[in-house]
Amino acid sequence: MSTFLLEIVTPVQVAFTSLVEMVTVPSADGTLGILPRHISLFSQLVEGELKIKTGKDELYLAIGGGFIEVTKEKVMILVTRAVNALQLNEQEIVEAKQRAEIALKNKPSGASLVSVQTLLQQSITDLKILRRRKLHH
Amino acid sequence: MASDKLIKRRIKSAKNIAQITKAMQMVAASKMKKAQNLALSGRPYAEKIAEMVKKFIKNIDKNLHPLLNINQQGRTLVILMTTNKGLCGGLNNNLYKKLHEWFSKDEINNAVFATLGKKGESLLTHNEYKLVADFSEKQPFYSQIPALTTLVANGYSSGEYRRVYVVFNNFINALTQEPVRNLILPISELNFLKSNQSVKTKVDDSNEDFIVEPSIDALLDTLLFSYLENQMRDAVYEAEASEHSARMLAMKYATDNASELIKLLTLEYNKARQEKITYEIADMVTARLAIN
Repeated sequence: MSTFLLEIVTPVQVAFTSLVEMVTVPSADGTLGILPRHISLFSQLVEGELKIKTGKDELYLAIGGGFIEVTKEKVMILVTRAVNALQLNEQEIVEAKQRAEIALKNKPSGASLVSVQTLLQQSITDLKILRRRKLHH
Repeated sequence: MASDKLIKRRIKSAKNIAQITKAMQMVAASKMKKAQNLALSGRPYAEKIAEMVKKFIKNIDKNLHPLLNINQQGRTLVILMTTNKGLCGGLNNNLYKKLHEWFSKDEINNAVFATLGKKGESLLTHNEYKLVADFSEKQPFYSQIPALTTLVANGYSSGEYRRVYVVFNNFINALTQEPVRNLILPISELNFLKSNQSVKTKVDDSNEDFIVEPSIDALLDTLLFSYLENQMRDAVYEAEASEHSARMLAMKYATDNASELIKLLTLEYNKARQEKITYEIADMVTARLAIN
């Protein structure tokens, strides 16, 4: 099967660069699947899970919000974070989620509300990805 | 001639100082390494996002978003990034001096300032310049970037600011930091092709059709905002790396000076001791002679 070049870049690192067969990303309008020879596209991504398929291998990443740019040469994904399922620690995530839920109960506002909401959203995505990995093994 | 006890005390205190500055130098060195890594690892992202913005805004109408407008009126906003703590040599003062070279007196008097770093804040308020916001209180500085970006974006969109500059110390290597001033708004005046851009990707000039989702408006909003945020974050990381390397250097000089002082004082101490011995011998000899 044909492949295309996928690059995932975050502010901390270049998270992924390789030839892949398919990538599925969470866009603002729903999940987007991208195969080789996709039309040029520029779209906004939201917090969620990203799936990369190469041959029989499937790789799941938890990503933060960002952008995707599809061109003839390559697919570029810029996101605030990208974490591999292997790097996730379930207990830490559950704790983070609880912290966020407790903080939300106190009805924060402004900047702290946003940061707590992001934390909650992030831990939910991370947990989803972890569970999926467990199903596979 | 100072008594040898006094000299001994001075040697001891110089040694103590040398020990402290040495420790501070080491701390600064490890912090610098961390900050440097952060600054370097953020570069690919910064380059890519600049590339995206450039590509994207080339094909669209400049009136679509307030951040793309060119404001004819309004003030200049200068974001001054300094340090919270001193003991870093002339880092902050050099930056402040440079500020006066870059802007004329009128420009500075008419400009408004936002600061990250207490040193910059106190310099500005002391000279009675207009400070609109100070983000020095919370550490680390990069936790303040969203707030700062919102201030800049809102101010520019509402026409309050005509131009926005970031002024900070750029980290070149551990020995050199260079004060720089970056124009971040208006975007259309930006020089995207920075010389340090290592990746030379081909930007095709053809007006190829792009599908844009969800809509150009919504996308521009977030894209431009995160672009601005990224520019600031980059500057903060650079400034932080500069701060630690400058402090490391300053502390190294302090340690060197202390060692030099210890050397001189030891010499003096030995001289004084020698002198005392010579005196005693001379005393004994004269006493002996007197008895005989």
